[in-house]
Amino acid sequence: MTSSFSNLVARRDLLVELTLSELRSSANETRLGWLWWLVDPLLTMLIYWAVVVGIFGRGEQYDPYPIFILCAILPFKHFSSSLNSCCKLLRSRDVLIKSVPFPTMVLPLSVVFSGFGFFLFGMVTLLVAAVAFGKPFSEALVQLPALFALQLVLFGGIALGIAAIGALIRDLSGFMSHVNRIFFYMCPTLYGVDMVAERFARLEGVVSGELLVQLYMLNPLAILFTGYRDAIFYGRFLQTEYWVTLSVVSVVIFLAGYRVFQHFDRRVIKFL
Amino acid sequence: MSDDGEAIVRLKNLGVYFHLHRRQKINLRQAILRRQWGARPELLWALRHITLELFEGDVVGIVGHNGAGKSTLCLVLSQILQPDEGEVQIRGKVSQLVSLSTGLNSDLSGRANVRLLAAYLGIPRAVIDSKIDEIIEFSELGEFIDEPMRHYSSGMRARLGFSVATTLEPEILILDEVFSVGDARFRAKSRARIDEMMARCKLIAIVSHSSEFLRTLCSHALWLEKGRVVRFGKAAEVLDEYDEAMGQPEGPMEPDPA
Repeated sequence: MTSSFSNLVARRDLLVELTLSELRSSANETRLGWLWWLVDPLLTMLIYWAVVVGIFGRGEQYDPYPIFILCAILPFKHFSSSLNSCCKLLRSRDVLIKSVPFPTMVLPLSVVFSGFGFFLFGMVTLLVAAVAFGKPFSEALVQLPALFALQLVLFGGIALGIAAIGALIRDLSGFMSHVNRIFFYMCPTLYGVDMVAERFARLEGVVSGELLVQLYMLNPLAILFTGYRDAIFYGRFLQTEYWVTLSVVSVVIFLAGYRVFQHFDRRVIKFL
Repeated sequence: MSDDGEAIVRLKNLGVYFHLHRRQKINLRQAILRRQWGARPELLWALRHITLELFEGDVVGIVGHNGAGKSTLCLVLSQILQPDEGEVQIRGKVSQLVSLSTGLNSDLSGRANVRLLAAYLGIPRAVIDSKIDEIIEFSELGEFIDEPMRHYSSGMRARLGFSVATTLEPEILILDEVFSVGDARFRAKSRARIDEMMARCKLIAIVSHSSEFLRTLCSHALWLEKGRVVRFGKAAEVLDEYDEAMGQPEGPMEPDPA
C-alpha cells in the first residue's frame, strides 16, 4: 500500500494507535515513567543555566534565564528526538513493512506526534514555572496553538524526508548527532535574536546587518523559538512577517518531505 | 461483486526487479572522476513477463524452487510491493497470513498489542472492540494478556499474532505452507481456523515446495522458475509435470515444529 494522502486518511486509526502506544510504552518502560518528559528538559536547562550564568556570568539580559532557554529547549528536544529516531525507523521495522500492507508514512508521522505528546507535557511545566518566576499569563499565550500546529507541520515534513533518505543511506544516522548539535548552537536556543542582530550590526559597512538578520530568520526553527519566547517569556506578539515566513517555510518543507517519501516509497521496500 | 466470467486477479506482463549491489573497491579519485559512487547496480528480475488470470473459486498452488519468485509474487498480490513493469488488477481485499510477532511493542501489554496489530492490519476499531475477548480466548494467554509482552515466550507472541491476523475477513487469501504457530495442539486448532477462513474466501493462493500438499487442496497450480511462469493450469497436470522435472515426487512436507 503506497503512502498516498488518501491511504493515510483511510488508515488514520493506525496513526492514532501507533502514537498512543509509543507514548504509553515510553511511560511504562522506565521507573520515572512520564516524569522523564519533565526531568529531561529540566536537566538540560539546569546544565546550560549552570554553564552560561554560573560559569560565563552571562544571560543577565534574559532574566529569568531558565524560562528563557526552556522556551527553545523544549521544541528543540522534539526536533532532535524526531530526527534521531526517524533515521533508522524504516530499517528497524523492515519485517513488518515487508509483511503487512500499510502506508509506511504513518511510522515517521507517529514519531513526530508522540514526541509532540512529550513536548506538550514539558510545555505545561514551563508555563507553571513561568508563573512561579513571576511571568504573568498574558493574552500573548493565544499564539501557542498556532505555533504548535506549525511545529507539527514543519517537523512532520522533516521527519518524512529523513526517514526515507535514512532508509536508503545508512551513513545518515552517523551525521545526525552533529547536525543536531550544529542546529542547537546555530539557532537562538541559548541566546536571543537581539544578540544575533547586535553581532551582525558590527559588520555594518561590509554587509548590511539587517539583511543578515533577515537571512538568519529564514531558519524556521529560529522563528519557532522566537515565537515561544514572545508568547511565554516576553508576553508579546510575534511579528507578522515571521508568521508568514514560518507558515510558508513549514508548508514547503512538509510538501517536500512528503514528495521525497513518496518518491522513495516503492524503492525503500526493496532496500530494507 | 464479480460475475463468474470476470477475473478477480489479473496480472499483465508483470515484472519486479531488485538491485544487486556488487560492491567493487573504488578510490576517491575514481569516484570524483567518474562521478559515480560505487558500482552501478545490476538488475535482477525476480519476476518477469507474468501474465495470469485468476477467477472466483480458484485455489491456486504456487510451486517452484527457492528464489523462483514465489514470495515476490505474494508481495505483489498483497499490494506491499508495486510492480516495476506491467499491470496488476485485483478486485477484492487481499490478506497474506503472516506471523505477526514482529510488529509488537514489547513494553505494552498483550491487550494493547492486539489493538496495535489490528490497526496495522486495517481491522476497524469497532470490529476489534467486539472481538477482543474472542481473540484473547483463542490465543490461550489467560491472565498473561495484561502483562507486558517482554515477559512472553516466542510461542505466546506467535499465538497472539495469529489470533489477531485470523480475525481478518479477506476476499483473497494468501498462505504460506510452512506457516505454523505454537505447539502441536495449537497447530491443529489453528489449522481449523485457517480452514474456516479459507471457506469464506473467493480466491486462495498457497505457496509451497511440496506438490503432495497442494494436490489435495488446489484447483490450479502455477509453477514458477527464475521469475518466469513455467506452467499454469489444472493442478494435477501442472504438479505432475513439476514432479517429473524434480526427478521424484516429494513426500508430504510436514511443517517443522516451531
